Amino acid sequence: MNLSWLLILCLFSQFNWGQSAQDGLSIQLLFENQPLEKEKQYITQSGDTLTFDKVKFYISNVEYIDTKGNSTTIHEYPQLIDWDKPESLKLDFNSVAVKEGWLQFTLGVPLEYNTNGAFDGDLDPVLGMYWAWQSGYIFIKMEGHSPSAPTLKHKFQFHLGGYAGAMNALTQVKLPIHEQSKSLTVDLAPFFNAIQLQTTPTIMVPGSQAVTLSQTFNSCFRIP
Amino acid sequence: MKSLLLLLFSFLLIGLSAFRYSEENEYFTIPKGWPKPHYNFKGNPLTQAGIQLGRQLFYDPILSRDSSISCASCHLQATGFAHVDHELSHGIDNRIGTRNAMALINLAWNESFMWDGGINHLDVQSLAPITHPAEMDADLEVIVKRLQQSEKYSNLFQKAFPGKPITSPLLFKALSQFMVTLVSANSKYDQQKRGEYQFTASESKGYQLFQQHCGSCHREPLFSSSTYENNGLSVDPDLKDIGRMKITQDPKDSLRFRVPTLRNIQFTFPYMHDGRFQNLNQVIRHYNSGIVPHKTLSKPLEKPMRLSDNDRVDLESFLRTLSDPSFLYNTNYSYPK
Repeated sequence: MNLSWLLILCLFSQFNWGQSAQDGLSIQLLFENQPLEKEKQYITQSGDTLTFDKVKFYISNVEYIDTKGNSTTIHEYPQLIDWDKPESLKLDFNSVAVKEGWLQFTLGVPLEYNTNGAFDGDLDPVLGMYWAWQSGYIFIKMEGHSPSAPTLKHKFQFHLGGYAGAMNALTQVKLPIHEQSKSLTVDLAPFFNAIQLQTTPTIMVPGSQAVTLSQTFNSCFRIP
Repeated sequence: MKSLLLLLFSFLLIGLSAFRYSEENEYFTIPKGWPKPHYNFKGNPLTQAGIQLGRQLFYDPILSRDSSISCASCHLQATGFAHVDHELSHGIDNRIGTRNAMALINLAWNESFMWDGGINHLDVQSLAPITHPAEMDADLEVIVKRLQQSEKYSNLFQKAFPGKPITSPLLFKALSQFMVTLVSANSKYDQQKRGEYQFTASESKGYQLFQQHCGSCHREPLFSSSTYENNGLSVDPDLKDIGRMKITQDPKDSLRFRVPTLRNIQFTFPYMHDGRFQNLNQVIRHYNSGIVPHKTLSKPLEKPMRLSDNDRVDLESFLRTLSDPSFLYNTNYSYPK
């Protein structure tokens, strides 16, 4: 009798847990407020028509800051958000009670993971987010096609990263959050509105352009 | 009583030094008088099983796309783990790379890897040749699956990393464990330093010339330094290799390349990042009279060496004292039976 009560209680709490808006945020990739879809054509303000194949990026050192300024770590280890892996499109609060305040995270992979060899989990180099010829993780990877891109098969490729000195492409994101917040949106339109694929179809090395574009990508995040 | 105290004190000293150099264990010892290695052994503690796994992997073509070539295809032990007679690295399907395969000697002391220093840790070094289209051209994910499906490697990984599934970081760590054991510290030069060998007159003269003209970059006892220098080579019109600048994008690094170790240099021909020199005579001639001026040229090379014919012979005899047969023929490093 006691045991079955316990079981019911467990099931109940489990059920409750799943329903609560407070266990995390869903991560939604958008283009001009519309959910990002494979093979769908999008038009940027700079006049480029494009389709997306890959969108992947890392967020690390995720923390919740309450209205008094107290911060609580949600998770430190870099999480790979991958458009192709629905299970990755979720930011788990890891039992942190998130109410009114801010959500803050690093966009990219912090220095220590770029200089100490290979790491596992979401940082495993099999995931295609590690540069081979120059040590370091790719923080943001976006690939697709556009007739404007003067490249082979009209492919555009952005592999943004870099941790050293002036090439440091790490940025911080800080967004207001409240108890009812359900999603973290990443609208890619501002990124592609800010560039022209005719002149900038590929960035695949760390450097000043990668730093600038990482900052542009940073402005794509919202908590509605 | 006094001798007993002395004995106790020396035990204490031994204990302290072992504590200080915690990276030293039965598989890795720092040769006397050498600096502390750069490799972080705490992050990858050496074990017999780990080293042997790394050795198996090093010699196994399973790491290349079509299982045709292994690390050892371009890094041969008898030539200091360099690729003898190949100017540029020679990969899968007879594809040719853009740089000379480097010798693998005393890697535990390296702060960075490759001719341009683009790789900052030994544990991510292997990723480059495994995935490079002109080298082993493999998809890392496919390689890891291949290892997971192999009964041999399931067993060997279990022994080396108990309770852990086979992943790419463990593959890299195993390769590192083998590679850091490749220590060359028993050449005639080392024996001379330890008082076990006497330089000939020519070697001795050559050593003086070396210290005067070469030693500021090729620093003893490793005969390398983790710096990048423009050593006055003309730019190859086909390769147009800018060296270190590719990594830092800093014009000050244009045409600068790693200062490689000179240990076992007698056997690691051809020489330079593009393998343009076939023998040591050509190399010494270059430094003696072939330097091409450039704004990034290494300072010590601005003044010509002006060595006589005899001097050049002596310098070469000294360089041959850096050969270490006990390294080149060490059975612990050879193809696993």
